[in-house]
Amino acid sequence: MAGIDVRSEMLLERRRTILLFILAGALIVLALRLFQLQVFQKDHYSRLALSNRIQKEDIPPPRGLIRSSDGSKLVVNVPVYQISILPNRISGREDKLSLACRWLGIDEDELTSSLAEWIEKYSDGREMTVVQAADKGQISILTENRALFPFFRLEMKHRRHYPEESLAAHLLGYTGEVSDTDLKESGDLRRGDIKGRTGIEYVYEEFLRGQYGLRIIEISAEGTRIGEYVGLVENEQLEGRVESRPPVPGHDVYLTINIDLQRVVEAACEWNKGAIVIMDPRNGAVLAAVSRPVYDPNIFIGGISEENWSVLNGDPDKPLFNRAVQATYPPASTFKMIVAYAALKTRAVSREEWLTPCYGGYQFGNRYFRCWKPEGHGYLNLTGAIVNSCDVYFYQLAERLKADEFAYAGRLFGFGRKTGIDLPSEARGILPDKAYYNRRFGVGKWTKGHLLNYSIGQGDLLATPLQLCQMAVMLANGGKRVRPHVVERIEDSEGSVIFRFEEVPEKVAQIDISIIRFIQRSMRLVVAGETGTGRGAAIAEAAICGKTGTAQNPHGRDHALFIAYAPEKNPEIALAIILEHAGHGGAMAAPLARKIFSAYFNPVTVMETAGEEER
Amino acid sequence: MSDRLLQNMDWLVLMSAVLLIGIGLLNLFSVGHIPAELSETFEGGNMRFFQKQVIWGALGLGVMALAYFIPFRYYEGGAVIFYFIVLIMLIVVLLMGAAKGSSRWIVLGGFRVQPSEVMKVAIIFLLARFLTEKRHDPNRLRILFAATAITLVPFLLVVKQPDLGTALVYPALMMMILYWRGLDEGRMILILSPLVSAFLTVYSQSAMRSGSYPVLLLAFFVGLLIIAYKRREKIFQSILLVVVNLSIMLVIPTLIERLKPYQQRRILAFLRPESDILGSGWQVYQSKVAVGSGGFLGKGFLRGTQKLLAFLPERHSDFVYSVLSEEAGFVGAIGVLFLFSIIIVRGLYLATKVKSRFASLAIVGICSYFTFHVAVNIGMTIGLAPVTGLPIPFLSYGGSSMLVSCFLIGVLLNFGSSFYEY
Repeated sequence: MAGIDVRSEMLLERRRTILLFILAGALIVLALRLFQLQVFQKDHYSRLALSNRIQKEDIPPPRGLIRSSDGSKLVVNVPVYQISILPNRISGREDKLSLACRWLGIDEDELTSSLAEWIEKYSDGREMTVVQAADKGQISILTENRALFPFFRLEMKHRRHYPEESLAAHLLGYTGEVSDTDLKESGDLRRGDIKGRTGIEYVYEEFLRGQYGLRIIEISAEGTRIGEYVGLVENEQLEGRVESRPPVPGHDVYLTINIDLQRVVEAACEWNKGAIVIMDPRNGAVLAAVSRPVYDPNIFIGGISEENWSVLNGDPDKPLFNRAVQATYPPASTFKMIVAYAALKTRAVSREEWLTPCYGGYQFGNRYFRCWKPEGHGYLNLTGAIVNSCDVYFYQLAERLKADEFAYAGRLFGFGRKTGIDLPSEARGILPDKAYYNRRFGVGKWTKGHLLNYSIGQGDLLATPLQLCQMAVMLANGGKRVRPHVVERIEDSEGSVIFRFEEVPEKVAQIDISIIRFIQRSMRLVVAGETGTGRGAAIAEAAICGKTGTAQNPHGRDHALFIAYAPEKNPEIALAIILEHAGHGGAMAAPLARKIFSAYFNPVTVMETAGEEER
Repeated sequence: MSDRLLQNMDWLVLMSAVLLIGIGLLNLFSVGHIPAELSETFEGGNMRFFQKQVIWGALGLGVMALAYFIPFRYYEGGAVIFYFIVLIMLIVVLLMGAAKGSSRWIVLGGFRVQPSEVMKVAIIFLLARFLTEKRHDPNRLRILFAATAITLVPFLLVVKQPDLGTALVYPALMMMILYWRGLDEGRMILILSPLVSAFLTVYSQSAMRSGSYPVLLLAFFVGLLIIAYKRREKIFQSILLVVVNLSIMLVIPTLIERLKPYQQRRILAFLRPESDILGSGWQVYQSKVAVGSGGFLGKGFLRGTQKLLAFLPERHSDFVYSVLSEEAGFVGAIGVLFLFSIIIVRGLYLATKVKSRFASLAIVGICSYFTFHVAVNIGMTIGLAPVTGLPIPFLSYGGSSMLVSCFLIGVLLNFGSSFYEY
């Protein structure tokens, strides 16, 4: 056997020394690292260690319901099964993932690419929602194969459901999952929560949301729950003493909406575009409100798909737009009451003054202004002019009035400013005054001709359906202003009322009540008079006062308008109807009002009408 | 004969090994233990690993004694046949694996044996035997190729299993044995430096933001240039050294760019687990939490918290050291390192002391085995090394690892005590 010679013995000792140095180096590196972790960063890791063990877990509160005035549920919560994926449990199970995707009908490529983005964004391994609302098949696949697909989590969440479907959809609004900005702004929100985006859901978010409860649980790093603490827990990790507490459910919001009336209005409003607002002139409560076109808010339940959203959002008819408060229209002849008020108030005309007769048009300077009735109205006093909606008469009033006098009267009746209703994105409308015209056309560059248009509610004047209804309310209740509102009261989960919308109409000091009375009588004749333009609204059960309007617009056929209230004495209901491009107010809008009034004043026909419409 | 064996016994190494086995058992007991106050929240403790490991430990001591008393010439004589038996076992495992999904075990007489573990022993002995021949100078290219072939065959078989971590042990053992046998340092550098270059290049590619790797790469290259200059009398080798490393540094970035993104991610995840929080990164993160929260003195025996949370599927095997570090703290973690160091350092001294070249080479192989396993496993649990799945000797649960480690200690003690034999 070959021995080891002297040369190789020296070589070995040299190499041993080198190896010992390398070994020492490795040991030092390991020891330094251990020292770094266990001595320098001990506190950091201790905190992390405990956070793995004892965790505060939030218990989401059930969101408050939205109900009509009689308590019918308009928005409820339904459980939805959400499938989310735990990124840190996929590793090594990629084949299972593709199997799961095939079974669940999920596009695997899409999932992996969005997952990759997700992980890049959130490296803490937080779960990503894959399916917002799983169907029955998906749920059973996942529950049956829980062990096979440990990276999927099926979680029940509450989502909003609208049992009446599109009924009052624009009022109720819809919810959406909170965004990162929402989370930053509010400490009360958690990822995956929903938040009101429009309508009542949005305005009364704070009431509907409720408060999170707190559970103190022991949890494994894999996310498995292993126990729960009850009561007061004192723990370094929890930063002191923490007590578990149940969640506080959100408050139920009761609307002023009369569900029967709302149903009638929804059914009666067959026109494809427009809005109807109905209020109680005694307290400003909105009894019904409709905007067309409408959508079914239930499509938002599982997180609206891209396609659905772009269809809804890109629709030129804007179905998501609440026309009742967000859209502005020329009030047209419905504004003549305001002009009449302005004229009487400034004594530009007297109640019985007969002006130059109407022969179908009016020559003003080098321009010829037409009356809506080509054959003309002949001799008229103010009452006759309102009843027949004669334009020529009002052109003559315009010659006697100043721009600011129009604006003053308009302002008294709430034009040109928000009503303050508890709905989002209310439009202000436009109520031109002298300053407005100067701004728009330049000082001295505008003429009486603009005021002629103003006198028949055209031109730059714009108002929301709600503002028109508010005018009807003020004409009905004798010039008292009341804030329109949709919410009647809010109750907590135990049923005690924590908020009640109590509006008492307030007399507007500047309004001359005798002029109102005069206008009221004229409005009665609009519906009851032989030549009244609003005869189509008349019913036997109640005396209706109203005013038609036909708004010219550059985009097509005229808008049909009608405002009304009833009964004549002690009015209970006031409405405004606008049907876009429908034609004459008297022909198109007034008959619709008739349906609504007859349903309101004759509850038996309510059922019949509703039944008919459903068929 | 037994006289010499007991007289020359290296008690220090024996005690270290026995202590490590004891510590390993206590640690596994703790892994399976659930504090009484938490017994309701956790479903029953799992003492299965501990109970089995007690048996493995006892068997291990028996194997150690056996290895100690077998005359050391038998090792040299049996090296070839042993290697081929294990090689056949590896092939059988692979074939069986192909039939029923991946598998690393073979069942022999009721025991599940992991041939890839046993192969480590076989490679050590066969290389030692092969290089014992005086004319088998590793500086000759033919000998170098032969040694590489001995290693490469099992390496490929194990990679195919797939178990890259275990497979990588083989070339590591080979390099150390070749070095000890006198492989020219210049050639060592020539063989190892491309690996370092490749590592540093990949790291520089993937970690541009941290910025220190490109600097390291540059420093490494400058170092190579200096070495090449100093060894300029061997001009061919020097040029080769520079050219090979430079081309690796230039080729790898384009190679990586041509990989698909998921392949890039996989490489990155292997080299830098923290970049892959989904997979191995999660384990490393949890392991670091366990180790770090242990602090200087540890949380105390049975008082670890992280082990309770099913945070590591491998807390009884690959990540067992993090449980130990959590409960025994910095002191305990260093203590274990110290015990391993005793074995390795004593082994290196014995390797120079023994008269037999075969024994010397085998002992170096054994030292390399412990060094590599300990460094890689601990490095893995504290986030310094890739997650390879290498067990830590004596501490990790597992019969094959335990028996192989004990056997190697027995051999080490055996060769050390008969140092005078040629």
